Amino acid sequence: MSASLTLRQVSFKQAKRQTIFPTSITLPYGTRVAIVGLNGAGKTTLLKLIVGELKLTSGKIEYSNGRSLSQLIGTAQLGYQAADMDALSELTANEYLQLCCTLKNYSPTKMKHKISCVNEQWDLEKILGMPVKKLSQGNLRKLSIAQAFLGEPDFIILDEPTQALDPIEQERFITNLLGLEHHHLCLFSSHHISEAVRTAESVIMMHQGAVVACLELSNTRNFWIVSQQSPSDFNCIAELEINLNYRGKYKNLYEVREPHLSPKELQQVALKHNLEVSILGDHSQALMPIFNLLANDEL
Amino acid sequence: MQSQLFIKLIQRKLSAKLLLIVGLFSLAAMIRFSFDNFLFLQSQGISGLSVFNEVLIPLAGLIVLLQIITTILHCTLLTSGFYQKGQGFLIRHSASQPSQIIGSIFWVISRYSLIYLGIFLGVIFALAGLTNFDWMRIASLLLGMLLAVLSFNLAAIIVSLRITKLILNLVILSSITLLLLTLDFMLLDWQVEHWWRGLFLPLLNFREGIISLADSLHYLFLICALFALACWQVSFHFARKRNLFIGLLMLMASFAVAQITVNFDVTSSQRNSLSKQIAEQINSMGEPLKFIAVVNDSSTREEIQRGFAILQSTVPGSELEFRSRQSLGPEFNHAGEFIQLNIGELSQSIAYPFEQPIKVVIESALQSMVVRKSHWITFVEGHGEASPFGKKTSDLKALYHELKAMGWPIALQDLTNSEGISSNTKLVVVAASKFPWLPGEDAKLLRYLKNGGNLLLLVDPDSELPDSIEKFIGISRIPGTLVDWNGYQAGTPHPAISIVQQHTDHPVVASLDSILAFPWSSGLSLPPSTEDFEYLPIVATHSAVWNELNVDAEKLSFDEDQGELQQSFVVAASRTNLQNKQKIVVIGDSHFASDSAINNYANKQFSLNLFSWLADQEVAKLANVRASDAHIEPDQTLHWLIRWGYGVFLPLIFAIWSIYSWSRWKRLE
Repeated sequence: MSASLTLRQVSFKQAKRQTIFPTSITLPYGTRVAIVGLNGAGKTTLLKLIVGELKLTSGKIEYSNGRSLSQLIGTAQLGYQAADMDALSELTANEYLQLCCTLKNYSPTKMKHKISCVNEQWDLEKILGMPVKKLSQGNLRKLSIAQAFLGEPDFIILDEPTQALDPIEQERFITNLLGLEHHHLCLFSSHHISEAVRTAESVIMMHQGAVVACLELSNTRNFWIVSQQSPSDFNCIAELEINLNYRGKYKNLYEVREPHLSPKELQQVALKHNLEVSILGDHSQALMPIFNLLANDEL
Repeated sequence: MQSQLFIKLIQRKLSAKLLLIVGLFSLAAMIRFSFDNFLFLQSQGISGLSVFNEVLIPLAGLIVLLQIITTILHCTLLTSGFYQKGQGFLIRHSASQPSQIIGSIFWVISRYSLIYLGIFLGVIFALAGLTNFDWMRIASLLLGMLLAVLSFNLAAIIVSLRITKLILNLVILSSITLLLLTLDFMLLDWQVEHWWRGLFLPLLNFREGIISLADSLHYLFLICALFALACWQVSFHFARKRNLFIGLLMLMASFAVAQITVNFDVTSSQRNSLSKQIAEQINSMGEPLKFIAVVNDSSTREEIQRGFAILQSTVPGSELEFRSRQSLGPEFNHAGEFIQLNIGELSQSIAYPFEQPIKVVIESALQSMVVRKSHWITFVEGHGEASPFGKKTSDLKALYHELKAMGWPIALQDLTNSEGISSNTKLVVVAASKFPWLPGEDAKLLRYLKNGGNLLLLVDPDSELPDSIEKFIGISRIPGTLVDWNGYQAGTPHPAISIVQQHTDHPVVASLDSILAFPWSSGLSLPPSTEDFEYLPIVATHSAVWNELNVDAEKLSFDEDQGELQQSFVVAASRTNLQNKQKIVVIGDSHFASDSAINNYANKQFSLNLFSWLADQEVAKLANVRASDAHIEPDQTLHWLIRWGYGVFLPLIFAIWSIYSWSRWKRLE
């Protein structure tokens, strides 16, 4: 069965932690999804909610057609790499992977095979015999990503995986993710837009605990606009489906779905109706402008 | 595999290595100390010694303490180590069954506890060849230790799984452990252990060889409950609610079983059970037995409660009450700490600390309460006899306290002023008269004897004794003071102290198998038994002893020419009237029971046996006073094994191995 992930009105509220406002997302089968956002946007919190490290305040998360997280874990179909992982300094890298395998309930023979797979995939040969404590930050991160890939689980959740990776390893990460078979769902967070664009098929952009936009990078039909106008102001353009996606402090972010007008034509129509609109472009084009608007606190 | 990796996570930590080394060296020091201490006490001839009590129990206490400390540290290193390093999800996301993970953690944590238990077993087996252990009691102790420590380990795992910070975990776990120990003592103090048996409290029963159904079931349910709750803690997926339900259900069951009162005394000497005969006698009185204890500290209370538990198991409906000294009425005229047993109008006080096991103390007290109503022990005075109330070292004050503790009313009687021996006298004691008897005094005693009264006659070589009495008894003294040169060479302070090992099958010494010391004693000469009178030796010296006719001489040596004899001398003998069952015992010495010598070797027990036999009490009951493991004679190998093997080399080997393996890992790092 191919993997899918559905968040239904998921929210989280706790003192000292980033609040997540009610969010509903459906991540389709076999996709690579990047979560991007500024520091403190709530990326890690959302990922921890998805893997059950934090308890939902409300809402529900479904994995692959209604499966619960507990059902998923029981079948070792969840691989998770946490951003705040530190080294289990008393083990070698190989022992660490063995421990992960035993906890995933693999038999010794299976374990050997699984470790050799991730070794090949992530080029761990040089570090396998080394104590984890002695590994550099980059190698430690590589090891922790590798453990998430052990056994090729259906769901691979990675929290800032490329942090501390050198360019060669970043490239390997991108290659390995692109090489994932279609039944895997990989969700990873990142600060790097370019990496997200190269690796992911969809990007979830977060800001201050809310999902600002879900961008399907292959979608060139719909496009995004920002405007100070309220959604009702657009009622005068009845022929267009303009959806409010994020209500900002200064401007609102809208997605124009299935438009019969080009972005330029839309801008002209808006001018005619005295509506101030900025066109951001289609899904892949809008990614950077939205990020800049958020970074410069203009949204 | 999982366990092996968990073990590595602990084993490669310096703190774990250091704790193991410190633990093993402290255990080694304790082994050496308790062993040497026992040998020292044994050489002092202290009575009531037991290898189990003096060596094994202190060791067991230290081992439990070390196990607790080790568990606290290892739980912290293992579980909190995972969480603090952000790797907790590996456990929470594990596809293994929770029971498998908890089983691995539990095994890894408990594995180190077993190292200490293994050494403990080694010490037990090393000593086993040289003393007669009560193996059932040892098994009971080991079982109790194992169950208590396993329960604690599981409780520690549950706490550790909740706390993600290492230091915080260490602090909280230590605090909770202290709290649990305090709770146990509070349960004991408040006498509410029938509500909840606590975590370590049942260990006290197991230590004494009492396997109670409540304790066993309590541990069984508690371990199941803690295991299920630990599984619930880690089970993100499998049967989480089921584990919680099972855990709570088992916990409730462990509460419920505390009400069960079925106990089994597994000790070979039945040291935790009252004799059936006494229990029947007490129960037949139909009056409630009240046990009042005026004691201060908690360890005393613990001993009293243990004694009361013995009593309660055979005399249902007994009551225990702890009283403060301030609350006592005028009827309690006893100084210091003591316990008082009351049945109806009968009352018996016993001073604390007890010099015998509490079971024997209670049995003696009850026995004497049953029989003593009209029975007195009368000491004759007026001729410089050793006095039960005197303060000189040659007096019998310690013996008096022992007899009083047994419940005997003691009286002094001067035969000059009285018409004769009181009719309620069960036994007359003449303890070495120094001055001649006045005319008529011997007649009063003779009258008592002719009426069938029992007599204990202690005669030193220089004692005065009316001929008429000696003639009546028929046992005479052989002139001179017995000199035991072999005993002196073996370590007695003076050659005139005879060491007696040759016991007969006389009821007084039938249960004794340790040596006795008779200072400045005389040998006795026994006539042959007749149809009416049976003369029996009770103890005799070895054959190298001689009767020194000039014991004050600067140099003592056997001199046959002066008529000295070198042979085995009878030092104590009995004369039994086969018609009226009158019992008379003559001992060629009064010093053995004096304050200066009664605590040497088995003298006290011998004295008490004499009184019991002469007062027609069962001697066999008191035989339990002397533990079966009261004596060890270590050979050179055992000395080496305990002092150097367990005391030095074993911990040293562990330490070297630990440092070596750690340094290997450090080199790899």
